Amino acid sequence: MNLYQQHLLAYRQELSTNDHQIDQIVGGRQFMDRHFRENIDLERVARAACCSKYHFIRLFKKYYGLTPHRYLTDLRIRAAREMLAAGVSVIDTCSRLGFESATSFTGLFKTYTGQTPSAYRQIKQHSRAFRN
Amino acid sequence: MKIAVTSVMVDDQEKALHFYTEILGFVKKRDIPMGEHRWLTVVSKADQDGVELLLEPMGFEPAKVFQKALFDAGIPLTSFNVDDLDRDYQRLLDLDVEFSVPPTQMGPVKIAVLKDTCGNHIQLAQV
Repeated sequence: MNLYQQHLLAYRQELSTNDHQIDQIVGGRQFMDRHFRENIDLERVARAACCSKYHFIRLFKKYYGLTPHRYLTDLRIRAAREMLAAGVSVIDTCSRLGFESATSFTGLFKTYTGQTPSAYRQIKQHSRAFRN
Repeated sequence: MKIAVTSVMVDDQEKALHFYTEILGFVKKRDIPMGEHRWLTVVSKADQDGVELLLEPMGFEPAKVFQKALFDAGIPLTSFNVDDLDRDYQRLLDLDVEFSVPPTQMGPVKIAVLKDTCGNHIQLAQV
């Protein structure tokens, strides 16, 4: 057994004492994967994971290394990129992903990607036209 | 500032290109001759304007010592995400890829570790 395999085995044994916690956060994460387009809040995610909001946030960060809010935002921004690249309008993208307003969507998208949704969409449309 | 390129050290760029494209399924993006070696990058098929993976030739002797020490300890040089680890594990086994760690649940993440035939262990992770 090599060094890495030994480390994995030891870490796996450590994790096995927390099976219930892991089931909870995986359940919450899967709920976010299924419902991120619906403007869900963390109260709802935590309920799906059968624990309190603060307990869920703490556990999620412990096992995934980032907050559930960040995870949820990443899912929505990734979906927005795909929709905009496919030619969906900024307004439609914003409403289909459950953002509260075009302003908040634009601000968040720019923070995460460095471009506004309309600029991103335009670049993708140009590169698509160029390829064709 | 953006992270545009990351690298894996490989002992043979041509062999690496075959493994990373034909076996793992990445797509060649840049191939620029640079004297004895090439600036050779691949990208994920589903994210072709994403981060490029440079198949970096081992032109620096101490790097070979580092790569061998990592390999002997079984430590992955890097990790790639997959959607369905069991499916990819089976597909890669069918292509004669050797694994040092079969699919293993590690808390909320399932991982496996393969040998890339170029001197590295590579981890696959399903989150």
